[in-house]
Amino acid sequence: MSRVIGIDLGTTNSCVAVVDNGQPVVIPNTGGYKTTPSMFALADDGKRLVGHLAKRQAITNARNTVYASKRLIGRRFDSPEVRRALELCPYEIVEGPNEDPRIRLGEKVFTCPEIAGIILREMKRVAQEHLGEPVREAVITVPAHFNDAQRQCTKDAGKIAGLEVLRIINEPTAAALAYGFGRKPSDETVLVYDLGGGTFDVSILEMGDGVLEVLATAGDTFLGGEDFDRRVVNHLLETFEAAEGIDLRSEPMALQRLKDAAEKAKCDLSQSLQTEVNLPFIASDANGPRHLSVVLSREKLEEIVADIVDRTMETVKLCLSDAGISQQDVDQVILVGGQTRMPLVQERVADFFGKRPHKGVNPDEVVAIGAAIQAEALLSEDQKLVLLDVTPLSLGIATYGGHFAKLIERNTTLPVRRAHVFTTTRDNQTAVKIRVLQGESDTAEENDLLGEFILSGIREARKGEPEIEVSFDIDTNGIVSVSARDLATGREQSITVNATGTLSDEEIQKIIDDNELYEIQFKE
Amino acid sequence: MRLGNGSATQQERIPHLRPGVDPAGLSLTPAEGYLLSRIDGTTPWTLLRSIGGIGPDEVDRCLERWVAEGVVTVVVSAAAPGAAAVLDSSHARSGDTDPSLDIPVEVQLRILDFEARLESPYHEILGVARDADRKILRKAYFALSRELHPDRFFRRNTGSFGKRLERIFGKIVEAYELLSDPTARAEIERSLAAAGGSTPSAETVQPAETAQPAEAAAEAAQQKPAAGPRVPRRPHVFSLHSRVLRDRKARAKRFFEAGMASHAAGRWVEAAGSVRLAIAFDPWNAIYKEHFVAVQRRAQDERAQRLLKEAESALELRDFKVALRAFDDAIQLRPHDAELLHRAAKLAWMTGGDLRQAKEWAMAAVEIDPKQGGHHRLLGQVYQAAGLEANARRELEAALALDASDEEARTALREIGGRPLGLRWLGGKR
Ligand SMILES: Nc1ncnc2c1ncn2[C@@H]1O[C@H](COP(=O)(O)OP(=O)(O)OP(=O)(O)O)[C@@H](O)[C@H]1O
Ligand SMILES: [Mg+2]
Repeated sequence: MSRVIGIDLGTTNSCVAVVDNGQPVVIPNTGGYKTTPSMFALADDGKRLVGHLAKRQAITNARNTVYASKRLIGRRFDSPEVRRALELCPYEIVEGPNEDPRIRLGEKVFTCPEIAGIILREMKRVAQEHLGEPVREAVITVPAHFNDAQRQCTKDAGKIAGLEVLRIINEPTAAALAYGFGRKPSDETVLVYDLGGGTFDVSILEMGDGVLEVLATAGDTFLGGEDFDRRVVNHLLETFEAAEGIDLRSEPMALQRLKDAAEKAKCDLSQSLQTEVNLPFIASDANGPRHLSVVLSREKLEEIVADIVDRTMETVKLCLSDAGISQQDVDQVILVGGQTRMPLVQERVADFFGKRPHKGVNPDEVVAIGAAIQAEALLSEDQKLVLLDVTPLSLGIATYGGHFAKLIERNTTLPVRRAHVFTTTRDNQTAVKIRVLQGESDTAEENDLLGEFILSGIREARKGEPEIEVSFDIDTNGIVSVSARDLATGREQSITVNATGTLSDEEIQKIIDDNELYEIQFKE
Repeated sequence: MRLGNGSATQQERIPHLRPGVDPAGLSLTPAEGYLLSRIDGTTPWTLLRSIGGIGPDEVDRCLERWVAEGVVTVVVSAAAPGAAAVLDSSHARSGDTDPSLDIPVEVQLRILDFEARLESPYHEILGVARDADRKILRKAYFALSRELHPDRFFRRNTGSFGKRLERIFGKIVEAYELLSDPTARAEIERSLAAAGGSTPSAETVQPAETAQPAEAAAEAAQQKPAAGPRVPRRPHVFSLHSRVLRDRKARAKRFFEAGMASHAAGRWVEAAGSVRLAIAFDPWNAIYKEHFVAVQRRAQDERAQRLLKEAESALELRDFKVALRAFDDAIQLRPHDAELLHRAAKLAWMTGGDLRQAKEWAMAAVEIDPKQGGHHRLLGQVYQAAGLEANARRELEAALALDASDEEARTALREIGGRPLGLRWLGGKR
């Protein structure tokens, strides 16, 4: 049997791990790095570049370099997240036929699962090179608050990369798995605080007896290290404008340089109290070239991002209340994600819980390691570990008057199936349309539309008489499916599905074929 | 929904005894007891009707009652061998194990056994005492998760057991969550007490405190704050459940009241629908269930009646397809109405409808009422139309034997070259 890998497909960085002789290890890439930038670029000569190679040329090729595409995957083109990305990203985002955002690089338009697939393929390649054998299967992680479409798209990305996805698991859950690995079995309540590049998740778990039970999870869809960077960029822009009278906001190249410099400064300030941002020749006008040179202190940084850190603590409180525990009940706090290296984040968390976070895990690697552990556990003969995860979002349907009727509450243990009886509202009605949504708002409109289902062929009868049982399933991947049955006859009812934002099987196959073609060309 | 081409009548309905039902607990006449003892999970309904000592109508009535009471479930098995569609899979037999699967047979048996007990009280599902405390609940929940979580058999060839495990695990979670919720638990206790008679002891909810001698209790009370706010483990989730529970009960009550109103007005279908919904929202309520049994039969009658009326008006409009469909639906509700089967078969035959369907219906009519020459004649005519002359002859002859004055049968027999019974003896040329 070939090896199974665990992949942390991050917004900014991806990481791959495997269990080797019972020990989980992170696999370094050819450059010796344990993480690989989640970036993809189309070079001028048509070459495709992934990871560090893509990152290196990002400044000079900003329009054709994709980063942070995880923020777009599985979303609708008209969602606020995509609209925001449209404003900020130097690459071109266009609307696809499934109302999904797609990315145009040169002549070609890429779907988001395709981009993710290209990055996953790179991670697979890294693993294969290291292990010296082909890899076909993987467990892939996603942020805990990802909805059905985002999970489905990630699974499709695996397929595009030529991987069979054994399971999609939640990043904080994976981190807890890695934390629990090899520890003496004892009952513990663990809180995972995961602040990565593009996402923020909190999960509270109880562990003991070979079982890991997620009590609750909460997240912030659009919050991560990049928001910190953006604040720093803005600060630099304003400082420069005040000093030189030049607005750099419409200069893509300058913006890209600023973004890189801002992130670097932010990271430096996790170590030192002060740093200098130097960007010579950032602009020029009638008076000649201009250089940007700004001194940034840790204090200043903390001042401009304080509200973001406060926001994360609100999510922590929500999660605690969902789990029905107070902060004193938490035995261990685990910090995950590069942004938790920031001293301010660590202090806030320590203050809130009244104890120092756990030190033993590497925030960049722990998620991939957890994924590898789960992959191993699923396939091992003597299943010694069971994961009981929950659905992060309530599932329900739109009802009369635009309301949202929740059928499965958030934080329900998976897998779950709930059946509900529906009927007709008009005499001789033969079809019913059901809109399935995920989210917490009472107003249907404000939740994510997963798809529309049409139950057809209902026996003609007086209104209210037919009884059609519709079953909603969420599997252990967090992926939703729906089926229906006529209660009077016991027969399955036909359902037409219009899932939004995801790709059809044919589209996926076509992408796979295209990429195969490309692979062959590339190797020649 | 459009019924498929009469697939239901080509299938056999096999009554099964629901596991866990103790026949001694039912009050039965000796004849009913005898019938119950014949239900072995392989004998079809039609055959049970012909066991002696109790008439076929009485058999139907008993079986239908038991189905409604949940004593018996009916499994429809297709005429094609092997394809058994289980309507209610909550029955378990060791015959269901399959050694070719990737699950040891003893584990399969354990799964089947567990599945058969899914309707038991929640504490029995978790295998804990009725007054088990939270710690014991959690331990049991974790142990069962390790044993029966579907992931344990990930990627293995599990046949039908995959679905079973999902159902089982869902129930385990439900049991754990509801028993962990004080409000839900109190509710469960009440319904258990109502059903089983025994009242819950005072210590059910907080065993540690009331069960202790006075001094120890005082000590415990002092220690309690030290245990911290951990005691209510998931208050939010609890309140969620109890809110959901309250909500469900309120809705159940509304549906039930609507059902009663329909009942009073004699609208049985509506009444049954509403009461069914009430039960769906509040499955523990014994009164709802009782009521449901009462209205269900009359609802089916009403529905069948309505379908027949629909068929009549369709016939008047010469819309045979609609009429046939209405007949088909009505037969689903009244599978043992020979008159109805006859009419449906005749219509299908005369209007060039589905002959296989016509044959099934006519055959069922013959089977139910074999002394009626007309049923035999019709079956013969259907056979004739299908070109099955030997069968046609047999049935037409049977029709004439029962009723020598049946000219229609005589003519049909003549058409296929067979001679009417009397003539053969007289002619004697062969
Ligand atoms: N020393 C540091 N101090 C502050 N921030 C840092 C440091 N190192 C990395 N980061 C930030 O962490 C973020 C990346 O974290 P990480 O690699 O965990 O995210 P990711 O896994 O790619 O994204 P996600 O999990 O959100 O999908 C970036 O915003 C980066 O700037
Ligand atoms: Mg991450």
